[in-house]
Amino acid sequence: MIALTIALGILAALLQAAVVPAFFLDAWAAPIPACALIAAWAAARRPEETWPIAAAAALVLGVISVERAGWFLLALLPSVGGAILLASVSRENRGLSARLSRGIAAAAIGSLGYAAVLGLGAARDGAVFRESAAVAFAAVGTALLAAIVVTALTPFRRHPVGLFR
Amino acid sequence: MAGSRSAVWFSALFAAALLLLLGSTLPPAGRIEEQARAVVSPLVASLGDLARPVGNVVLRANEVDRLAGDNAALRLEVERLQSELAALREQQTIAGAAAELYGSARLAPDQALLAPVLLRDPAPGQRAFLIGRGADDGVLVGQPVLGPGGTLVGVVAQVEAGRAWLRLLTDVDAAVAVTVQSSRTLGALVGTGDGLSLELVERGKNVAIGDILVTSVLGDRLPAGLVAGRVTAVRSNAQALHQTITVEPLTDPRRLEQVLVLTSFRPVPPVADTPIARPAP
Repeated sequence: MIALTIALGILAALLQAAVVPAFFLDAWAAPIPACALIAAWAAARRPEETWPIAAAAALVLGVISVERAGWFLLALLPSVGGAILLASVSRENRGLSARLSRGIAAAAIGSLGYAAVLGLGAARDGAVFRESAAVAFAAVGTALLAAIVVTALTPFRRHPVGLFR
Repeated sequence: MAGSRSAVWFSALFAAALLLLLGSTLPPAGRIEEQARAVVSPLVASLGDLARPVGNVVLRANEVDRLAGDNAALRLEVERLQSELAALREQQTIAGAAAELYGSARLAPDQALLAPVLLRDPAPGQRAFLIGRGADDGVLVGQPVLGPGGTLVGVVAQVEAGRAWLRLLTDVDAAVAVTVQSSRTLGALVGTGDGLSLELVERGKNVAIGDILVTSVLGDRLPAGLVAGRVTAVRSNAQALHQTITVEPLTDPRRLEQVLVLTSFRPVPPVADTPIARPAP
C-alpha cells in the first residue's frame, strides 16, 4: 500500500507540474492535485496512510521547482491535518456521502493552507492576499477534484471490521 | 489512541519538513536536487507537451469564432505577402538578367535598350519575336538585337509605337554579311528556318569547324564585330562553286526573355533605285 501511495503522490506532483498549468493560466487559481489526493485518500481510507503521498509529492515538486521540498511538505501538511481533524469528528460515518464531505472539506482546507504556506512562508510579498479570489477558486477546484478521486477510490475504501458491522 | 498516533506521525511529517528545509542549505543537497531534476524534468516536459494542445482547446473554446476569423484574415494576408514576394523575386530576376545582358555585351544603358520578349510569332515557319519597345523608345528598323553575351539574335524588322517585331537570324528571309573571325573570309549568313547556313564561301577558302562568325561592315547594314554564330559543319563538293557550311546560333532563341536593342546604331536607309548621275559632258 505504501508503494501505491508513493506512486500516486509522484503522479499527483507530475500532474500538478505538467498538466494543470496547461488548463489554468493563473497558477494561483489552479487546483492542487496533491492536496486533492491526500484529502480523498484520507476520506476513503485512513489519514495515517497519506504520509507517503505528501512526502513523495513534496520531493518531486521540490525537485522541479525553485522552492525547496521542505516548503512543499509544509504546504501539504494542512491537507493532512484537515483530514485528521475531519476523521476524528465523523469517525463512525463511513458512507459515500460522508467520505465525499470529508474529502471535499479536507481538500478545500488543504488548498487554502497550501496557498497560505507557499504564499506567506516562502515570502512572496503577500501575493496570496492580492490573489485571494484566485486562491478561493483553486480551493473549489481542488475540492471538486477530491470528490472525483474519492468516488474513484470507492473500490479501495476501508471496510468496517467487526462481526455485525 | 488513534488520535495520539495521528498526532505523532503528523509531528514527524512536520519535523521532516523542517529537516528538509534545513538540509536544503547544505552543499550536497544542491547536487542531489540537480541530479533528480535531470531525471524528472524531461518527464514533466513530455507530459506538458501532451497536455498543452488539450489545454489550448479547453482554454480557447469560447474564442473559436474569433480565432477562425483571425485565421481567415491571416491566410489572406499570407497570400497577399506571398504574391508580393513572388513579384519582388520576379523583379529581382529581371533586374539580374538585365544587368547580365548589359555586362556580357559590354554595353552601357545609353547604347542599348533593354526590351522584354512579349511573344513569339505563333505562325509556322515564322522566326519573329514581338518585343516591348518601339518607335517611342527610339527603336528603328534595321537595328541589331543582341542576346546574352552580346551575340546577335536578329534585326528589328518592323516598328510600332510601343512595340517592335524582331526577325531572328534563323528566319528564312534573314541574311547578314559576316566574316569568319579566324581567316577573315567573307560570306553571307542565311537563315534556314531551323538554323543558319554560311553561303557564298568559295571552295578552298579556309573555314573550319568551331570558327566564330562576326558581322561584317560590308553592306553597311550592321555594325561590324557582333558575334553571329559558330561553324558546326563544312562540306565541300567538287562540282560546286561554294562550300556548304552549317552554322549554329550562339543563343537559343526559345529561352530569350529579354534582349538588347542596339539603339546607338543608326541603320543606313535603303538606297533608292535611282540612276547614278553622270557628269555633264
